[in-house]
Amino acid sequence: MKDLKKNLQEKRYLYLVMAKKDPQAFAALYDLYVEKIFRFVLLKIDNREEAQDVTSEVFLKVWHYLIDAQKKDISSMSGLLYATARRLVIDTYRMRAKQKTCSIEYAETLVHNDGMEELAQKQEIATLLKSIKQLKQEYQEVVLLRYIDGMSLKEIAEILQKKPTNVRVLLHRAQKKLQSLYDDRLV
Amino acid sequence: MKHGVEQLLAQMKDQDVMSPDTSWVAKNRAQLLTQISNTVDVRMSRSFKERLSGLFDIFVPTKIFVFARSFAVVFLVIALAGSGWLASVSASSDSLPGDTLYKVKLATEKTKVIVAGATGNTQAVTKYHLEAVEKRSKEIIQVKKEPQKVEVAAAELKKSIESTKETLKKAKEDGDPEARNIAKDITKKTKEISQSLKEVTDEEETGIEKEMMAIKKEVNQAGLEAVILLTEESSDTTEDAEEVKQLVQEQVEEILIGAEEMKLVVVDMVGVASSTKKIEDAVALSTSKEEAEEQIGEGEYTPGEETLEDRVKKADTSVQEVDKLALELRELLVGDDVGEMVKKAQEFQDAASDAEEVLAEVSKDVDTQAEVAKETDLVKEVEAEKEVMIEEEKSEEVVEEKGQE
Repeated sequence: MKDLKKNLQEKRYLYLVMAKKDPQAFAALYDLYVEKIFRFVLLKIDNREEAQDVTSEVFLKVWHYLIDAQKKDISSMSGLLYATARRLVIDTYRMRAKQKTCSIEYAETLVHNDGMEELAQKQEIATLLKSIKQLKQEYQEVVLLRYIDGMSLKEIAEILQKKPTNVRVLLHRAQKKLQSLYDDRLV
Repeated sequence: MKHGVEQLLAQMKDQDVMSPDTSWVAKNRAQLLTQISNTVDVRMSRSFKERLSGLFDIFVPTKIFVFARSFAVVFLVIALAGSGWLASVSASSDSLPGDTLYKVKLATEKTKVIVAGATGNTQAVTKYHLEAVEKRSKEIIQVKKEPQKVEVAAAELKKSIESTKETLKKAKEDGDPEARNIAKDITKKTKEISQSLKEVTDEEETGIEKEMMAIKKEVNQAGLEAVILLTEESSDTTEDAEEVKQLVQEQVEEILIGAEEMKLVVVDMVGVASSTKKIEDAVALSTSKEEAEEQIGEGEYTPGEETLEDRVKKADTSVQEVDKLALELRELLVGDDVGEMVKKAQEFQDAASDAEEVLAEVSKDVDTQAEVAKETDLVKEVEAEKEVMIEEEKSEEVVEEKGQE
């Protein structure tokens, strides 16, 4: 029931944006998705500043896309946002040759910037992040959407434009691979 | 996945290690709002049609159209097939034995029975069986002049009657609470059907008397069996007992009316048979017996064998036996012993069927002889006229002779 209400509210905002070009409605959509999109981008880019830039750009591009006079067939706002984010991340990869280094940098800064008390835990998370980074893009995305963003298989399927059963298989493989990479790093 | 990694992922989520700074989120929101607000003014607002279309696109998922299309195709196929079937069914409703669509009509009726049987509604099953019996009896009335078609409908009618009886039997064996109601339905309906069948045989000579008799016997038997079931089981209420008694009485009265009619037929036959003697005399009086037979055609009556009078007497005896049973039945009708009444009615029914068969056979012969009698009268008239003419000629000759003299 809660999901249905949330879904209807999201659709209402989407309608207001598309039909009435309502900035406040878009701001509401921004509130709903900004954290998720940021995490998605950060996982791929590994630099918070760059991730922030890309996230801002994602929302701006989506706004322009929505208010375009041409007829749009949009079944899911999340699907549109993640697809745009994915494209912009690819653009960023192309533009920034140093993206591989960034990955390590982010994981290391994560450890160095925190206090000694949480060092061990942060170390583990950093190792896990590095393991996640070693996964291929598809696996990274499903792990993030499922475990960090807490999405359902159906929602992930919508975003990745796959069948829920395929997502389940993908997630299973990603889990196995992540476990193996993480164990290797611990040895 | 090992529990450790799963836990770490959960911690990653809880500790917001990957979440954006709240300050950046708020700042970025404000910036974004400014940017997008600026773009709104320069763009044209959408028309009502576009807004409506947008509303539709957003709230109605695209998948619905895919499903809707599949459903539409399936629906159309079913509708086309169904309309074809319905058209055939509706066209077949008036078909008669021998018609192309007659089998469709029968199949539709059977489908109804199967569907009702699948739902376990025994009363509905009986209703459809009885409807089928009624339809077949009406068909027989419509095709009464075509014995082959009568045969087809009669065979189907027998099947339906058998099915009706089977349903009642099964309902009784299974202890179906509807068994009594089913029996009542059968009693009422069979009475109606029996009456309509009787009207056909009474109206005119159809040449299917024997078949009709067999059908009537089947129908009456089904009614009687239903009545027996009603009387075998005790009634739950006084009203029910009264209804059962009334049904039995109606059934018995119907049977008794049949007996009365049978007696009338015998009286007629006796009248005709008594003239057989005169016929023989008339035949003897004619120029020659062979000539007379030639003139009146071949009759089944053959002197020397068992005479028609004897056979009528035999029929009369069987009818008298039936009449005796009818008398006993009438006495029981006044009393309250419904069980005995039904027993006697069954006995009467068997005797009446046998008597009717004898009557039907003798009736044919009697009709033939009546025809013979009619034709013989004609022969006699011709002979008489001949004699008169001869007499006249003779007298004319005498007159002429006298004139010459």
